[in-house]
Amino acid sequence: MARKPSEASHRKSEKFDDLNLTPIMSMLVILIPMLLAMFNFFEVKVQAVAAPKLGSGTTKSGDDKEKPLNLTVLISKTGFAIKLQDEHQSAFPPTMFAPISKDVILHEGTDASGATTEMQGEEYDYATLYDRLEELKAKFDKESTINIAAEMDIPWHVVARTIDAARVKLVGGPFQGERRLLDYSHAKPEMVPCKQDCNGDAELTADDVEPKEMFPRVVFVVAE
Amino acid sequence: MAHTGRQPRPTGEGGDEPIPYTKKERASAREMGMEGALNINSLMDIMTILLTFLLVSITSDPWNVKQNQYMQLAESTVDRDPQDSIAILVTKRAIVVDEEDTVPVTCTTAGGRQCRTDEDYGKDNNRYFIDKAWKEDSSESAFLVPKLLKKLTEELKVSRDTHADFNREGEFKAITTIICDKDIPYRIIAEVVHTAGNAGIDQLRFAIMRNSIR
Repeated sequence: MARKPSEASHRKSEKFDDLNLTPIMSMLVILIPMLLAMFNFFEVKVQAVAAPKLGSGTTKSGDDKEKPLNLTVLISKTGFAIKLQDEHQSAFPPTMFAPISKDVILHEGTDASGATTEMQGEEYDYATLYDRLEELKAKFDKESTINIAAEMDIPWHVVARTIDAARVKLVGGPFQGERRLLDYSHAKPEMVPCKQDCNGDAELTADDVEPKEMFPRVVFVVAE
Repeated sequence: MAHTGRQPRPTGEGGDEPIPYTKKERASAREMGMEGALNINSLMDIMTILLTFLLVSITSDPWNVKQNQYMQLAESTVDRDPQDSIAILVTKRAIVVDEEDTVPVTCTTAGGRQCRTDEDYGKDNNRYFIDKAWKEDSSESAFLVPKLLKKLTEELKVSRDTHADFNREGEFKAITTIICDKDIPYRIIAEVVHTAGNAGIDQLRFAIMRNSIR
């Protein structure tokens, strides 16, 4: 009678195979791009702003000292307006205080596909606002404060861009013509030597430069 | 020499030991782990380190603002780094302090209907405001938001105590960083800033997304 061959003698040798890492690798290959997508590749910076003043917009009179400039940019749905302390307004032609209306102008925007492109459309005229503020700064070079007042429904991104227009002096101004907003948008700040080390190498060299400031101190104003 | 069709014997990793060809040699090589598929252990190590690094970076960065349809930062060329401060997040849905929805933001579409869906929030010409019920004396014209004031006062106290407990150098500075959606109107910003001022916060910072184009 035939017998079943002994299993004991034919038992395969027990051998531990290496751990199959391929599924784990696949998981990691999916996880890493997912985390990279979650991570934001943009720089978050901050704009310092002073607390708002609640007031009627009128100023105190009878001051012996030099009157402050009280430079105020009003943002409305139709554009910008620049105001100064009455005593200082006479130093400039009336065109300085003419409203800067929104204009149909070439500017950078995003198209339907999300790509940045040049387009014609109604936009706030930040270039003209910058030109006028630069002219004011040239006359009152010691002044560093600007009041920003906006109509209550003006969105924050318009206020942020307005502050940006007043912050630093740019190379290439004044910005005029059809492409003024594009030229303004791409203009580089004028650099001046720092008074102390500002690039972090612990010594003051020719490399220590910073943008030339115009009106770095921003105050929010709410007119009642 | 007669051509046998046999290729020259390739060498192993070290370059000294030729890879064996006989059955016996191959079996012994298998046991030694010289034969087989690509060794992915090193690649696994790299991936694991990369994954750990990404997880640590994402979770430890306080300024990693998650942008979605309710929160899109405005852009600016400003170049000032954020610093340790009390963060107030103003999205299209709520004012958030310490990861807690403190005051809701009401949204209505151009037609006057309340925003409900994500599609509603994505529309232009929406109106965002804080309902008068959340304001001082339930007055439409008030700028003070009492619930936000209470929360900010508490946060400021915690920050001040922490500063004192850790004996940090320098005087305590009451700073807040307002991380604000780009479509939030000036009215809400003024209300938040006014309330922060009442809570004793005297230095304000607005978070923006840095862009080289202004």
